[in-house]
Amino acid sequence: MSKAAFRGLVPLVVLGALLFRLPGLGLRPIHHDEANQAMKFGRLLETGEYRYDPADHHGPSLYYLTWVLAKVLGRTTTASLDEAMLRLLPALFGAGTVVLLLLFAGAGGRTAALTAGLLAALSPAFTYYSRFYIQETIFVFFIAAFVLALWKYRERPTGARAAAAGIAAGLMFATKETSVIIFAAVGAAVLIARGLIKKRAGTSPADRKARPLRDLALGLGLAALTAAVLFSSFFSHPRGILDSILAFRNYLVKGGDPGFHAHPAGYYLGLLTYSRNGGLVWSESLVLALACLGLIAAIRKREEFPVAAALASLFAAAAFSLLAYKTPWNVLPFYLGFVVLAGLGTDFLFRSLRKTPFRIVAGLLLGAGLLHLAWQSGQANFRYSADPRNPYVYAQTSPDYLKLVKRVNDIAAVLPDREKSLIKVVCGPYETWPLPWSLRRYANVGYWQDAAAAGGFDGADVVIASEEQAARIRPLIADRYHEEFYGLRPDVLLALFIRNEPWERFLNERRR
Amino acid sequence: MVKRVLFCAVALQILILAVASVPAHSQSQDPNKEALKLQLPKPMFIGTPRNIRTLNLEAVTGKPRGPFFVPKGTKLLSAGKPVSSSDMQPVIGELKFITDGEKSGEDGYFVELGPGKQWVQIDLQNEFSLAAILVWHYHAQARVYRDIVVQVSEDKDFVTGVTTVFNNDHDNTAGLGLGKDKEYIETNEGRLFDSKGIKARYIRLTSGGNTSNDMNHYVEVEVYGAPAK
Repeated sequence: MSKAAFRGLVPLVVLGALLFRLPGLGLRPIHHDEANQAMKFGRLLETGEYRYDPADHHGPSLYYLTWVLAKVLGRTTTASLDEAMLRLLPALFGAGTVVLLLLFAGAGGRTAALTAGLLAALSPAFTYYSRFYIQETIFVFFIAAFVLALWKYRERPTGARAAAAGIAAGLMFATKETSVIIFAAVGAAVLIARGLIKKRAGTSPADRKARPLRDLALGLGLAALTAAVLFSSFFSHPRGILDSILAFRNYLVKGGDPGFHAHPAGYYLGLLTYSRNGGLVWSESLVLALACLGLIAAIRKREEFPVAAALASLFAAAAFSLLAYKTPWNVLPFYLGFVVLAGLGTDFLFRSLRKTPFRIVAGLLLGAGLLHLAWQSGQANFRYSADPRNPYVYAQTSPDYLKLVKRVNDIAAVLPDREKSLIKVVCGPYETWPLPWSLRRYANVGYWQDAAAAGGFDGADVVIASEEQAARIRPLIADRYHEEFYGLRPDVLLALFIRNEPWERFLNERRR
Repeated sequence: MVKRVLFCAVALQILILAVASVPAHSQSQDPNKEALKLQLPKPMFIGTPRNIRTLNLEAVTGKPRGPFFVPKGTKLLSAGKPVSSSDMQPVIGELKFITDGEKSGEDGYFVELGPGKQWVQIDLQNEFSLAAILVWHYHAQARVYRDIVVQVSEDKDFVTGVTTVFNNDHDNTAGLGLGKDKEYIETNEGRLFDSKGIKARYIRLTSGGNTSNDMNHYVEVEVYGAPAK
């Protein structure tokens, strides 16, 4: 591919990435993980306080980056936040990852970089989690930045490039604990690739000037500093640094006892290869098939970058697959490697096909495959974004839940106290979220896990309860409340009790 | 004393059982009526996964529906009849699935309409006296469809002469009036609506998503009746 063609196509790829990431960010009902993190961020926004929790919620980078975005957008309170604003952050980082992939043109060639960027721009997995307020997409961005900086350093060792790699590594660690898997996979891959491919060292002027020990110290120092700044909440909570290490004990326990998140080793590969559910068929086999070609290319070409990329992707995929604890978004860190391999595979394919008709056929097939990916992304993000038949949907809040929130808002609107109306929530932890997020504008909301502890219900305008607790509440409030139920998640329901008086007032409003 | 109370309680119980059985017994003895013969698809799940008991939801008994008596000569009218919809380009399935006689709960047998309020309409191509309307939205999973309104009319636009057979839209979300009927969990039995011999040519079924997702589904709709006299 010529430089001019590459430069012409780059804006289109970035535009494609943005088209699948920015529109309708508020469409999907908020996931309980998103809500949990949103409330944690809300505290940082309102009080300036953040404490790293070694038991949960992953690293601090998500919260501090959201803080920057919120300041830019002029948001100052939790009540002023919304889903679209929060998801804008991963959406921008998702598009940023595509840009970083395009910068790999120097390593794998322009065709490879453009294809990798295009696949990441259109992939349902990448687009779906780019619209999800969790760490994964930001983590993937920092992985791409780290690997790019490493490669740039390998091409021409400079202190600035070592520093960039170090900062990216620090941000990776400050984003997700699973960064250690990526460090191990990339480290092992680079060492093995260097061992396999005998590159004559010290031949270029840049190599002769290289000071690897100084650069290593610089990189490691900046990585540690970056992570320390964030984990210690800008040194206001030094304990956070120690907790970032102690957290691995908790995550090891979690990994050994995954509960609901236990999935077989083939889970991630199955997720990407093929899934069929309720009349919907999903597949990212195109990326996998091209990645296989990339593997062949790596073996045949015996060049350092393809071999290192192939090994790192395979090591990371194996490590994530062997962990019993699995969530679908954990596919992204190693899927990034597959996408890079797919780019290399595409380049290899077109170089192997010497006759023009074959190239045309391959181009048409690739185009059709890309269109299919784009169509799936459209379906996954806009029509089936909360539908359990979508394989990327995981313990997702049902759209029916939005009706519950709307009902509470409608009822509050006819009450004199409005957002000061008394709302009692009686649910176990599993059913409580994302209610604290959805009810964040209400001043008088109380949360209990047991009906007996809630202190009676007579004063409450609205009571929200899990099925189990609703059975206990129902006899207590008899016919003084109107009762409804709503789907929270698949197979999880919430009961909504509305005091008769506001209910009748609401119905009268509806009749007008 | 205890024996008398016990005797009275048993007698009362027998009396209640006898009274409760009277309507069905008398209906089955009506010489002009017969039990509607239905072919049900095989169940896709066993039992009721959730013990949902709310005022708005029909109690789940776990027992078969029991016979439904219709005038003799009642026939299936809807087989192969044209179907139109508020969503004429469904992503999954085709509108003709609704009257094709296939009621399986498996993939490939249902049509999926878009999110929110949607309707389907069956044209019987002639006026009939409608005895029963049987609807399977989706029975592969226990779920509740929201704001179900079943209406019949002689006007294809449902502007005039509209009769509402069923309405569980208790807060008028669909804008078709407040409904007093209860919500229900989908099963392989489908939901039978008693259309009480109303004369109509068109049947329109409205819904507004379900407890699992925001989409609207139909596996099959069967309309039973006889030529209008």
